Amino acid sequence: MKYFFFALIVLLVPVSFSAAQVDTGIGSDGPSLEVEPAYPSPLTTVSISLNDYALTERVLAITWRVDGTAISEAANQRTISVLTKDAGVKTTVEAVLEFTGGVTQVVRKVLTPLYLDIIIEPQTKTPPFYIGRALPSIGSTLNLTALISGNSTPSKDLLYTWRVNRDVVDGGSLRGGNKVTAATPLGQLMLISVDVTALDGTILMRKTIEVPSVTPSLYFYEYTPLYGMSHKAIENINLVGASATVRAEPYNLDIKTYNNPDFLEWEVDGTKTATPANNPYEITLGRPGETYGTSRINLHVRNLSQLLQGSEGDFQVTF
Amino acid sequence: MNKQVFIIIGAVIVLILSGIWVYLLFFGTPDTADNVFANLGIDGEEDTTIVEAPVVAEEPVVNMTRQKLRQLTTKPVAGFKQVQRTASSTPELYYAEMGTGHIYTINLESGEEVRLSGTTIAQANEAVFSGDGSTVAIASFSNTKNRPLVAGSLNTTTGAFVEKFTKSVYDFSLTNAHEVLYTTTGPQGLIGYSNNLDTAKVQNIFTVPFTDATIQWGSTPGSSHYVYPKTSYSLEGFLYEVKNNTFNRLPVQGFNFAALANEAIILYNASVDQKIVSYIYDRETKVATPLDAPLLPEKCLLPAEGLEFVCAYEPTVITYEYPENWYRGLTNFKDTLWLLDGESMTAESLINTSESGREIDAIKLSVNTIGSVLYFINKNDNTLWMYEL
Repeated sequence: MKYFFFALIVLLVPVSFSAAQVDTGIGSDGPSLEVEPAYPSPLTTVSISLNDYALTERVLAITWRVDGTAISEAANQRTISVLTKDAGVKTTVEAVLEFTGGVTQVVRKVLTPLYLDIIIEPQTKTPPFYIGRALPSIGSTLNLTALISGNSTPSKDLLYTWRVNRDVVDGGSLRGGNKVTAATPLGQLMLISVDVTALDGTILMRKTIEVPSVTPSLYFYEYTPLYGMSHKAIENINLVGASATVRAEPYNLDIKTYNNPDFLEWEVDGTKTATPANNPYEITLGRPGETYGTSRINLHVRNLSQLLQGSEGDFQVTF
Repeated sequence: MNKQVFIIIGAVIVLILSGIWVYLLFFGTPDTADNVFANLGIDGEEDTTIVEAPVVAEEPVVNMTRQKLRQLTTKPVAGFKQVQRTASSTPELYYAEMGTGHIYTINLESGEEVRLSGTTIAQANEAVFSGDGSTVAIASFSNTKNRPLVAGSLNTTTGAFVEKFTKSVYDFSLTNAHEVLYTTTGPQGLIGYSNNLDTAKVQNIFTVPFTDATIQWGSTPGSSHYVYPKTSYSLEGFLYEVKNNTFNRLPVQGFNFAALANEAIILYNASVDQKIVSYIYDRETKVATPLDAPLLPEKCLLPAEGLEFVCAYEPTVITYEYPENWYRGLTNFKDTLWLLDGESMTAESLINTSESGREIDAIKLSVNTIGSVLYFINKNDNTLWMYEL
């Protein structure tokens, strides 16, 4: 009998002492560290908070360590700020919790900042010389590209889940789907989000952006056989020679509407004029004999199925 | 008295007066002026010294002093380059005329302009020369973003242009080693190539996974090229460095994003509270410092190395819509040229271009090899200008 009790003591005592120090990593029960933002970018300041609501014992002291170095000024704080490193470079943040009787517990979080860039390329019209980016207009096609930097996993081995507002693009996650196409919804603003997940289900990065949609606008430029299209927008053109050619550029009009408009009409002083045969967006203005004066030239282009896809503009010609 | 007496008396008077008149006519001229003008002694004694006539230095009609800021062409220019054919030859400025693609040279000492090549490249609107002037690449206007490019060698003696390469390209550059760097568009994005005009060797140098991109080309196929999505006030932009087929994200981004980079610094724009703010990011210290005034990187010149750079800008608040209005040709600037130091964060005003009497909106800034002359094109009329630094 005494050997039984001896064996019992030998087995139980080490177990009770082994509970004195516990390393708790991500996903364990008990206290945890919460990061805000949850998916930090490189070289940004993140806030890390201790979540110990599940603990029954009171925490007497908190010591914070970043990459093994104690942060004395953060002693006993429940939240600290940490600057993340370059993309893909890890930072280990630990909170050492002290309980009654000298018992300590370490809670750890590893930060791996990544860049997740969402590049939006609306398929709307801009002139060939324009060095800015086209903007989305209602109903236009968007080419969306997600670029993740700091993670060595090839794009084809990652899962991408795209959303435009609440709609999941293509119905669900796409393996290697870092490039998708979507339509610009109604409304002045839309939310575009993407989740990038490893094949084991770990969310690597998540990002949501707000994108405005604009109304197409019409500007006019002179076209000459020698130079091509001028880079200066005109509001008033002086007809110096016998004629001048002016080209209309509907900025941010959906390319599909631009190439095949349901409605396109030129007017001269309010009177409809024939649509040019070669290029419907180009009009040649001629001086009517020896007369002098001004005229207002107007163009209206529109998609009759999607009335918000259209634009109207005018300019003056002095002859 | 009778009538006879009156007549006799009148005749005698007439005779006497006639005699006096005749005498005065022939004998009455005074020998000296003193006989006519009496010396009344008002001015005291006569001063008979001879007064030397003052020597008046002749002012030249034309001011021969050369202004530091000078207009070089009246023709619109598609591209230009200061060229020195040999170490001892006079520097010349080559330029391609916009519209025709004809190539001219300007002797920078005598000012003489000579046409080198009369080969017409229709609707030429952008041109790049190699450092020795023996190679040129000229792009023409196109209705699409891809435009026709012609590149070849230029015989500076005979003016013969030998076409060696022609392709429809999205963007292009030319190295001093006669390599055309260019991009084409495809489903996977932008593909960068290098074509050596001497050997006809073509190689793929990078792939950018998006199409609407602005590229800052390096000096060789293997050097760093910087790429970012085209600027927009409402769509965020990011900067990438592509080198030896690697694609590396740099830690700068923002709305209204435009950038110029070298090994030491990145000059970039981002919108803050609906205003454009320009920053200099030090790549060694990883610190971004805002500048007091907004710049447009498209109007700046950053050398391949070093922290000093030149910008043209008008000291005014650039709101978040302004770059796009400038891109559309709705507005323009009246520039002052500035020399900025990215280390001391100071700016020195070089010249207000309005002193020329013209409105100058400077683009395509370039310096000669020794950094003594700044060249640029006036966006308002595409004429070529120079400023002696």
